[in-house]
Amino acid sequence: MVWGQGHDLLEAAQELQTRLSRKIFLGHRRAIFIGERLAQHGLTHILDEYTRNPDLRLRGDIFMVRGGTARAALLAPHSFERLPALADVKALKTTGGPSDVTLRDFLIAASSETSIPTMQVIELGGSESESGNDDGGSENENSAQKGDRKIVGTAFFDKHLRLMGFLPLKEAILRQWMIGGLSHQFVTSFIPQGGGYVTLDAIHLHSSIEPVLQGTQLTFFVTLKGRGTVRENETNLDLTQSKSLRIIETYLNQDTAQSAQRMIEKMQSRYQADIFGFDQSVHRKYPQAWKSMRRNWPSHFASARVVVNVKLVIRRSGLTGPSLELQPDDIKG
Amino acid sequence: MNASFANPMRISKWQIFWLVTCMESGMSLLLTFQPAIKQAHQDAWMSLLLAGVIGGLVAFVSGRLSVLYPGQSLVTISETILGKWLGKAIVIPYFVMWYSVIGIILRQACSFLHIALFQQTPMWVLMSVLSLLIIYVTYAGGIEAIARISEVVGPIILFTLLVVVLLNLNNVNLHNLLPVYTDSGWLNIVKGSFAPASFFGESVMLTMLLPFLSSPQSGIPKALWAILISDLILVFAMVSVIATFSILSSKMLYPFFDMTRFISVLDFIQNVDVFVVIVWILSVFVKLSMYLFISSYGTAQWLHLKTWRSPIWFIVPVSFVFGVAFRNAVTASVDYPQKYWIPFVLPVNMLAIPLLLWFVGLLRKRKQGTST
Repeated sequence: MVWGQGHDLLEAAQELQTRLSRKIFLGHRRAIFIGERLAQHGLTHILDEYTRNPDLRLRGDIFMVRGGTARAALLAPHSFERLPALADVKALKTTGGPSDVTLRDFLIAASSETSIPTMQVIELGGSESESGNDDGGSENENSAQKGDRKIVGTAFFDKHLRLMGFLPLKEAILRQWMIGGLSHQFVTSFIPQGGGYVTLDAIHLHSSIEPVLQGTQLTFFVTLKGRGTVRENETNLDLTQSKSLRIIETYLNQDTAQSAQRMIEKMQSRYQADIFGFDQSVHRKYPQAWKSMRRNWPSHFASARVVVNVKLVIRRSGLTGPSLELQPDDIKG
Repeated sequence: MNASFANPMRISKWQIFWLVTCMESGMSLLLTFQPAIKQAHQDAWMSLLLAGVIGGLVAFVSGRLSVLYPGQSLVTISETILGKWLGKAIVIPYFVMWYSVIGIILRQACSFLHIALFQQTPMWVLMSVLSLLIIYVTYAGGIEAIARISEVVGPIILFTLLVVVLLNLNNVNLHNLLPVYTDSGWLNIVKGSFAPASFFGESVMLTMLLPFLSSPQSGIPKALWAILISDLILVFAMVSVIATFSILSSKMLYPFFDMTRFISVLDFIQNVDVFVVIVWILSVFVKLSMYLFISSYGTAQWLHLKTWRSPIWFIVPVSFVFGVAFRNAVTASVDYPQKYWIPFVLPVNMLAIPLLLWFVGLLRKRKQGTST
């Protein structure tokens, strides 16, 4: 790895060039990493080059390194990626996220008056990571986990591009489903009637955010849709029975809707940060009202009512009906 | 008549179609998107539609003017209609327009090539090479050669643009085009149409091209079709740009170019901007050759020279110097259009003078009709 220092990116690149025997080709840039400290300080004075410099394409990803530095992220070796940074780019793609466009989306949100810029967050494994700042429901995250780096969620920034908070992975995925850009996801729920967990491999994930303005009361109807195959069934339900499938669908939908509802309410009450694109939905449906609402959007967002509806449909149940290891008496349905 | 010089040249009405198409699709994509989006934001596609209508109007008036005096170009028509001195005077704005625009296009084209592809090559070298090319085409082949080139280049341009817009489909989020109209309003949409209209209005050069048709009348519908089709492709491109970049596009100088660089299909088809640059160079080449031809031909008619080729040697150096004289990309690409092309050339050269000539010409014809 080579590095350089300077007052802005290109000055640093020039210093970096002195350590390289080959000319830097900026078109090869695939990802940008921002250390948490820099994110807290603010990103406003480092982003110009990425769009102004004609050598660069806008295509690419931007990541924040939680509890670490960008330098550490570039150095930390990966078990099977020769270029460790590519591990994050590829992980983002294989987990169904919006691969290769996160830089553009960050810039679009940053230049909008009301949108909240977000970026994906990675955490390094092993001894490199310190226990990160806990500013957002990361009770389930084990920040000093051994092993390779991983994607741990989404960070969101304020209008001065300073780090405002962190959305842990499960919620970050739900949010991605809400705003579009999630191509597939495993949705897992506990089914009380079956006494176990079921996982649905959901594809064709769509969402619609419908704002309804009545007087001064704003309500958002969020509908999440998807369909898929049950790939794992740890209950005793027989999946050749459509009754069982309906039970599972009901719980999957309920669980997901509750998680989404909780997430949105947390963002409303704790941060007043609209990371869901509600602002754009109002802008598009009520453009006249928007002209006055935009000025004070965080408070409108915080006081809005949100109703989440999830419609997951099980299309297939894999290769077996009930689990093969169960006794005939234990199978339900 | 066209036969005021030896060896009259002839072009066909389909060549008119392709000539107009080449001119309209290439440079407008690169240079008119930013001003339109800056004014009208996500409604800039409506500005483009309006600009197409204005361009069609210019084409129509220019065409009808040519039909009044078939075989005569703008230079001779104005002398016929307004008399020797006034007729000569009223064409002077066109000479200013043509001579300066050759220099500006040379400058803008080579400036962009310099940024995008040839950073080590000095700009004057790029400009000289391009100048030699257009001198060769214009001198050796005249309008016939240029028209034949446009017949080949035109389909390439349209096809490439269509493919580029299709390849970008996976980046497109049509919601970015909403809300329609409320954010901008009719005034901003109209203001946003000025820049593209000033490009579509270059169809005023039909007054210099239609004389080479055996039946100038047949050229008008073809020219209008060309403007329509180019405008539609441009609208698709604009919709694509806004859908991809949303509000960022108003801050970009060349949003369509940035969009082509953003294309990535199956992680494999990328860096499509190379094709766009090629298409754009072809369009610039046709446009420059055409302007060189009509300014040379027009100058020769104006000065009653023996051959239309001699002014070439005067025009190219003058335009070249004019192009080089600009200090930087901003003065060439921003000041020239904003301070001259849009406020003067669009209303005067493209609209007012042709309308005036057409009107007076109609009156004269009517008078001649009743007196005989």
